[in-house]
Amino acid sequence: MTPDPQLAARIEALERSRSSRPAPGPSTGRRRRHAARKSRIAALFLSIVTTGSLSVAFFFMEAGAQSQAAFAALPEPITPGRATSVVVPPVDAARSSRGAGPGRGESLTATPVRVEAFNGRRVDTRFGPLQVQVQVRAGTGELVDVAVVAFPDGDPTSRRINARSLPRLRSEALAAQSSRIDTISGATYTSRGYEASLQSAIDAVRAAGRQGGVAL
Amino acid sequence: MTDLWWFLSRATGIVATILAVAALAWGFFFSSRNTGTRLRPAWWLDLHNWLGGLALVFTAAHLLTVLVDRGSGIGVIQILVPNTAPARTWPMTWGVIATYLFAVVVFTSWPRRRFTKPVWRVLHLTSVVGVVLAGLHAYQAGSDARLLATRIGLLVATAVGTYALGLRLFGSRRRAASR
Ligand code: HEM
Ligand code: HEM
Repeated sequence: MTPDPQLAARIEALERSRSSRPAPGPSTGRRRRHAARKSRIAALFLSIVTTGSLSVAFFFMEAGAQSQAAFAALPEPITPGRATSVVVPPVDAARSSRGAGPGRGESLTATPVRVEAFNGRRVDTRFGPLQVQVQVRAGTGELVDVAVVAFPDGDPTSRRINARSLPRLRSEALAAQSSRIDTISGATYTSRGYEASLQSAIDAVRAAGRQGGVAL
Repeated sequence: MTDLWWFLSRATGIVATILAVAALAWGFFFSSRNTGTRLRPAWWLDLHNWLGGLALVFTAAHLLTVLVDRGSGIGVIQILVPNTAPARTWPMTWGVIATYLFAVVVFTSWPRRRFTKPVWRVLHLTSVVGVVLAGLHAYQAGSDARLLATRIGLLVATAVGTYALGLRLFGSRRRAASR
């Protein structure tokens, strides 16, 4: 070791703290000297690259949740309490992450089914009310579809989050044929509200004596 | 592709937060003389200045993209006046205050000599509050806040900031001696 670098550093620091003018940095006026020139360039470069990569990552994360299309895939709520004929849309529950077999609704694809609707409780989530409606096959009580009567849509961010999560929650409910569904990451409040409202709707089905096909 | 602005607003917000935390850490490392021997203190200070400036630049980019993003529900008023956002009002207020504090800190650091040292230091140290508020804003307002990765990131940022603050407050007897 040649001259003690630590000492040198201390002296330099000391000098700076004594002088009324800070040595480096933009405030030195004409004599600009950037002690960390290369690191500055590296920091700028890293910041820009990170911004770009994150944006691309977000693009892939949100793909498929193109808001309006996502809501359009959800069934319309129907008048509760009386049997109505609906055409059940293809159920993608069978292909859900759980890898469960074909969902019960699967075989009903494109056939008109007579269903009865039962509304769940209106659950107040942190971002607004959430209420689902179960549509069960008249007579048997088999869970055919889950519609959403109300969800937090007062602000754009909530709408986006719900566009992403509501279709997935529906698939999960149909696959599980119950309210035992996984919380969707990034949509905890929606998931919990959905689960609670769904459970109360299923309770209503049960109370009406239609528990037949619903595995509770 | 209207969502592009939304993605960019989130990305710039995250990068601005990282830069602000880094600036904070570099500032405390420098002022507590905890800069090691490999790199000169001047390097730390210079990079600190740069990181602080960049944090403000990326905050500006964040605001710009939030503004252009049709879905954000944020306009010029909501950016300038605290507590005017239609949704997530308080989280947005933290962001607004953090922005003002960063602006004060950066723009008082160029004409630094115009301020007496104690005044400058008090102004400069408000940046600590700014960083905390920015973190709170990110945690409460972000679409990604409930992702595990975001939480871990915020935790790491908090740890780094606290460590740097700890060094500054308790870590250095030499500092007192060197005055
Ligand atoms: C977000 C932006 C910034 C943050 C969070 C920040 C934070 C800090 C912190 C925490 C310190 C330590 C202060 C102390 O322990 O007493 C510090 C010191 C310092 N900062 Fe910043 N800063 C920022 C921006 C800037 C900018 C843009 C400049 C100059 C262009 C600057 C110049 C300095 C200087 C010269 C010191 C050393 C003060 C001393 O020890 O005497 N800072 N900064
Ligand atoms: C006037 C001040 C500000 C406003 C109006 C504002 C607005 C917003 C909005 C609307 C979001 C939600 C974007 C979304 O995830 O959908 C957001 C998120 C965020 N903001 Fe800000 N912001 C401000 C200041 C800041 C500052 C100063 C920082 C940090 C230095 C910051 C960092 C972030 C971060 C990290 C996120 C989270 C992004 C994510 O979750 O992916 N913001 N901001």
